[in-house]
Amino acid sequence: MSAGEGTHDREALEAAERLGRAERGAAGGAFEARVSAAAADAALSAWLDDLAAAEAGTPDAGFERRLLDAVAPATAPAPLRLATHGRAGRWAAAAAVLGLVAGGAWLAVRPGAPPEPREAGAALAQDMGLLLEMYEEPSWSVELVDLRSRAESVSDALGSPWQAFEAVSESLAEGAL
Amino acid sequence: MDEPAGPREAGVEPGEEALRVALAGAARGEERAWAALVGWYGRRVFALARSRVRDVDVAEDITQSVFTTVAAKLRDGGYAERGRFEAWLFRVAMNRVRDEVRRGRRRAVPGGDAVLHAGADHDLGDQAEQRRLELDRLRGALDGLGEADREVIELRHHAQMSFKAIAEHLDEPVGTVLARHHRALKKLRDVLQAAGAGGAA
Repeated sequence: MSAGEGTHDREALEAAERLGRAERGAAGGAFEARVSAAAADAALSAWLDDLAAAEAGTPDAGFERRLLDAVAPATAPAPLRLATHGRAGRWAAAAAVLGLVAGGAWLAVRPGAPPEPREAGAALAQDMGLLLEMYEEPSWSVELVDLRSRAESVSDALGSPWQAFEAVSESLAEGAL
Repeated sequence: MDEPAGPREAGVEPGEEALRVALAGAARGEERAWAALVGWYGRRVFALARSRVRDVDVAEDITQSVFTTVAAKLRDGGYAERGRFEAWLFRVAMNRVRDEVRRGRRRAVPGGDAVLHAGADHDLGDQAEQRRLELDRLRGALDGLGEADREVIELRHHAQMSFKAIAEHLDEPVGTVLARHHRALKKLRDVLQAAGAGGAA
């Protein structure tokens, strides 16, 4: 090995050492920066946790009770849900629905089912017409007029409505009218 | 109804099975199940609400409104997100809080807590007073964040949600949520330093 080579090697070694120190320093600085940032994050997080605990501890001891009381009305089952609550309730609800459907179907197809509304209306109109015809029948009118005249004559004769009523009743019983 | 959990027991994270049983019971209107849900989540929802509205009464009203909504949904079968109750609960809560803020019903102003506590200053020790002032600074710094940064911080710390639950809540990958949380903390630190309170961070 020549002196020049030795010098070169020494210089190379010194350069390598300088580079190594620089790299270690740079790496160490980044690491320290990361550690510092993490420590700062942890410190700030702890401070925020402290604040959150202070906020959460603000309400008095009755906080939970008031909260439960406020929630209680909303926890009550709704009426429909109450009717269908649980397995038995769901079966009952299903049976009720099936019953309604079956009942409706039976009413629609059963023998002697009531007439349709249009038919019922026609029947009613026919009945009304018959009633009017009966009322306007001449014999009916004659009988009414005859009865009224007889009652009036009796009433005039006796001078008392009650006695006239009695007389008419007797006449009716005797088949005079 | 059963005696609910007190403040000391409140906020304890329920196990998966315990939560499933409680939700089934709550859907049937069982008092014990509701006491458990209120014990686990009541003050966490309150803390989230109070972080935004500051006013204690309004925050409690919001909390009651959230739980009433949850009760009605559970009763009527409206909760269908199996295994994601926490994300669903705090989504309801955040929506309710935003509605409240949007309606302009926020009564307290930044720094309002200092006013509220001013009369009791003489009763506080120096240490407690110092802590109160630091918390007020932190509240003020939170007001300086944007909505997205503030949301991820409040979900993580006030609502005490896991990063997984926050990811479900925001419909984002967990890695994205972690990065968002880290960035939000950095911005909060910047706000605190700008306000001259960075030393505590």
